[in-house]
Amino acid sequence: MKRQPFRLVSGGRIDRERPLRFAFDGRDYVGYEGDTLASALLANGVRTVGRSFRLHRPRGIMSAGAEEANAIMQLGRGATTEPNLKATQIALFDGLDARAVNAWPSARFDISAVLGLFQRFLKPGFYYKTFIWPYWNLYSWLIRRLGGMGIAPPLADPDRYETRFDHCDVLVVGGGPAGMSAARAAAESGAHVVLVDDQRELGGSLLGMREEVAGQPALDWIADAGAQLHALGVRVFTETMAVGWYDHNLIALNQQVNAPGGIRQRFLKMRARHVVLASGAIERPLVFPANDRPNIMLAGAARAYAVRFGVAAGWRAAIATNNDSAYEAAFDLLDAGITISAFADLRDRVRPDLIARLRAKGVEPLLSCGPVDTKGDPEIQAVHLAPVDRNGRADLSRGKWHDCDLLCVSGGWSPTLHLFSQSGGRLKFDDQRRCFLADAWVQQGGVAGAAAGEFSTLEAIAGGRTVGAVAAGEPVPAAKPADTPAEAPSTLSDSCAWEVIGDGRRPAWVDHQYDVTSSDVRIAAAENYRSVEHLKRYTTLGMALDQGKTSNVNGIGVLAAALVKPIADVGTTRFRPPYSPVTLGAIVGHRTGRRLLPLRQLPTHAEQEKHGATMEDYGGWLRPAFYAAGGESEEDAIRREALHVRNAVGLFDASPLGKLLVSGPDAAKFLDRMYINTISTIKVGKCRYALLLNEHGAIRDDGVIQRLADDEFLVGTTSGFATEAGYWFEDWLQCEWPDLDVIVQPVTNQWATINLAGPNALALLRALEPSVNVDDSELPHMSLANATIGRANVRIARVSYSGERSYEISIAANRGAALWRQCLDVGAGFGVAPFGVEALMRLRLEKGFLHVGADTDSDTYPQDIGFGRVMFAKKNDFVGRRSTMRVNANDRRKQLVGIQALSVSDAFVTGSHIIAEGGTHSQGWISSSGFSPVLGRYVALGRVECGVSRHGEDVIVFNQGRRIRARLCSPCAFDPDGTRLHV
Amino acid sequence: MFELQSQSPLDHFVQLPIEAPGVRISEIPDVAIFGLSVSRTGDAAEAARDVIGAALPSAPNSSVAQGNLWVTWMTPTQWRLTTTRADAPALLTSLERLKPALWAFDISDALCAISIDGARASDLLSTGVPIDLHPRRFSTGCAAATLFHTIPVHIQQAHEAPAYRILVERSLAHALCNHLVEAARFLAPACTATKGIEVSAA
Repeated sequence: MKRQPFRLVSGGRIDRERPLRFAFDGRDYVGYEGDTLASALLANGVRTVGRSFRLHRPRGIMSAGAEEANAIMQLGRGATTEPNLKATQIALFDGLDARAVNAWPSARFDISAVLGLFQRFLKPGFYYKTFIWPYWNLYSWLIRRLGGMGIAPPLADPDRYETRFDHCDVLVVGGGPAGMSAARAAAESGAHVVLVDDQRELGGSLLGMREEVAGQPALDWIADAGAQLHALGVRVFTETMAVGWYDHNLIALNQQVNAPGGIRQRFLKMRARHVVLASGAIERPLVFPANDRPNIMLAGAARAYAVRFGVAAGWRAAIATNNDSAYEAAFDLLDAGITISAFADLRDRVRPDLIARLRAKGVEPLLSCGPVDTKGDPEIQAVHLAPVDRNGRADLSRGKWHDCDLLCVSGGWSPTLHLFSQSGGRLKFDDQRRCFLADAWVQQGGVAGAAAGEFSTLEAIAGGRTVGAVAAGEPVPAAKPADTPAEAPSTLSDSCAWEVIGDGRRPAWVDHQYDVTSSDVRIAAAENYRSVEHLKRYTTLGMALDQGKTSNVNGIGVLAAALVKPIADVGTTRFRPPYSPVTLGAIVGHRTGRRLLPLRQLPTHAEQEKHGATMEDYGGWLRPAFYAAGGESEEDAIRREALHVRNAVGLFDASPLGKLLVSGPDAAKFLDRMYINTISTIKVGKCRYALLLNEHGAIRDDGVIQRLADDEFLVGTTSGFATEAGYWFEDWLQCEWPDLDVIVQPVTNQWATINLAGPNALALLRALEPSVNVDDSELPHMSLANATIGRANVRIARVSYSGERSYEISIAANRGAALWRQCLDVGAGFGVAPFGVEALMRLRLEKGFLHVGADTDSDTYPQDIGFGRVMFAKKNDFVGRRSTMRVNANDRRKQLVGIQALSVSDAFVTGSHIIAEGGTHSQGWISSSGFSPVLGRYVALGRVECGVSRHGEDVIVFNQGRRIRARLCSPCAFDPDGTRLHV
Repeated sequence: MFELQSQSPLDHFVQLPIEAPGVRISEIPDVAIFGLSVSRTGDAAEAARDVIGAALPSAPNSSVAQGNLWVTWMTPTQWRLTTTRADAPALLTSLERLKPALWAFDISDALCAISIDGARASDLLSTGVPIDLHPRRFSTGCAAATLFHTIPVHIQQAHEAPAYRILVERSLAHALCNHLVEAARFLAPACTATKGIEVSAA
């Protein structure tokens, strides 16, 4: 087995008995169960693990958590490859195959690193200023090819995912000391509590330090607290990242499941009455010249690698800090056997106990000192430490180089409040703690622990307990415990806290992934990008994959210094979800393929498939478009089906047409108010075509209304409007006319409706042996009859959308398929054949019948389609009436007309514009078009300015670049007298 | 005289019942369903009690059971009644006598009734249903009109076991079952256990 040269001989929460083989950039390594990819790489001495986005500068592991900006990996190959994962978050497994993104052939030797030679030219706004001439599109293809990190999987994702909804009283985000205390306190108060943490085990920061908690080792405290949570029934989700906080306390959780042969990830939508954020804090790097060499690492991360993973990130470490936490890191590194070659603190006064403990271990801290330069090839080999004054300016003449293979830096801690910001909360800078804290809340929540600026463990535990109890409904304590400063009072000025300024020869990097320097921030400020939101977009600071977790606050600090403003006045950007990238598959869950957008199925769906129908989506229903047989083309099938209806009899499943039962003593009065037609005059057993408008007078829907009884109507709607019509009717009844005694019952799904259309329709209907006389004398056009067919109750309505004699037989939906089969059986002698939606559209187009939504839009009034006389004759008011009477509602309206090409062979594409002969502007457009097999030419409908009065006028149709001469005519191109209805 | 046979919307698409660890999905056969609406001006509650043997429930999202018959609150003036197909004709005749105070509509073919039961029934439903099905919020007798992803469903909890009845529009029944069967096949553990902490059954 390969040696791991930087693995400590003991310690760490890893299983040394379970070695795991893995590969990085094509080379094989070994780590242990419990490692992350980052810790395993460090154990093997791999330092350069990635390249920056813009300049391809070498990058090493910076952190040990979700804030990682440098170690960005492409995992796996083929269909399961996943881009842009952080090595610090990848749990090591046997056979893991990772490679650095944005680097070729490897992170250590990247050909694109040549771009770094142009660093001095690539200042903020470079793209905007340079690639504007002569125009951007000249360069965009190349720049877009260079852009982006990682490679999206080229194949469909073979893994399975699950989405799930969940609920709780209190959701605690973060399983560290504060979160565990909060969960316990909330559960003890009787709340239903869920605790989530992104790590494999609870403990948070305590896992990465040797600290004692309440007189016992940290790991023992974690075990005890965990047992208490279990006893209290707290649901604990580990390996679960809270990625978004949305309105009404909806928290999105991304959970790693990795069930063998099952679900890989689960996306939970958790609705919590109260949310406790105990999400910890992110350590900030220091901004100083040449601060981006591999193995310049956050001090807390180096400590975590030593304590939690048993890895020495380097054997000879230097440390530079401006706060107390790096001292604790130094103690743990020393205990792990790592040499501290130098320790610099930018402050001039430090807690004496920390100084004493450090000296006791043989390390002399250099106060008022900081890093001003580094050497390495590319990994760090030495750091130049020099005195730094209160303004952050270094005195290079008094500095000294210190050898090291690891530089630990700590620039303070930023509470992890991304979720709080997503929830709508506002952040405020706290001068004492030198960080942004939660200020104004919008949703129900609380914050505890380091996320609340409580940086010591005891503070965090106490804060968690209080916030957890309040979350469960306990009263808010009268007074918070006395605020204890997280660190010793500092005499540093703000500017010194955010940057160490050297001689200006080497850049100081703020955003390590997008190569943004402090100089870039100052240039942006000088060019008047003073808002932090503008700075972000101009420099791309914080816009990388890590979303600026380690760089944003430093960038804001540098900007504040450049603007000579307090940092509180600069503010922060708004954080957006997700906190950490989420695999798209997890969000989709089971909703793949046909489950993505479920389409409704006809009662005769199986029969349609047997007939070889091509099924397509029409208004949310899967309906037969056409039935191509024996190599027939789509167009040939449509023409054949349409002609068959004209010559024999066609069968069509019309079930999706909306059906609403409108009942009650005031049903007729209600429908009179809703429709432009007078519905109350329909006699029982009769039908009428009716138009429905919206409040603006535009046509909203049409359909046939059947009167079943004095107090009951069956209202027909278009299939796409069926559900909405029911809601709309209820809206009017409940909000506007509560005095009307009307009941609306949607019954679209209750009835299968089979349409028989064509000259042989009556013969076929008779062959079905209905229990009533269906002759013309008893069942004339636009009437209906209740009957039985095959012992089943049916309603036969004689209505037509094809212009042919036509009957719609409605039967309880579960018997619809049987009726369809029976029609085909008994209709064989009459030449019955099914026809699809496309043929029906041709038939209605020949007749000039309206298709609402195709021939109308939100600006179509009844008078535009020939229903003005019907509407204006009506005395009583109805929805939309007043709007249709406005002056501009009758002025040069676009009206429905037929359009016929002067050449028989010319066809129009729907949407083609219509221009007057010699004119230049559009006067309307083609709304429906197709070949009429019965007429042997193309027919079209359209809406044209003043079209009704222009029948016979020649116009130009601008059709896909061609000008086609055409003539305006009546919409009805076939059988204008309607004789076919009675054939 | 030929006879037109009745056929479930699921006959050709999903082979039910489906059994997976902790959950069973089946179609409830021979269910008759009526929509009941009271007139805005009438008072039909007492009259309905005489016909169905129970008062129409007045609490939102509640239901009452009377033998094979279930009545579920839908809105302040609407209820949904389920019974067996055998009992339906006589019941409908009796209900129709209550017009115009109460209107009964036969919507048996408009809806498909599906049963989900087993220890993990609520886990399965929670893969698509956004409401809280925890026994503290949703117990036996509770009912709710909600969505399974984008599919409108009506859920009743029939037993504490738990067992749920789902009513779904017949045209979307196959889509719902497709979801449920897929989710049941790969139903993941309730949550990930932490080292040293067992999964809470809640």
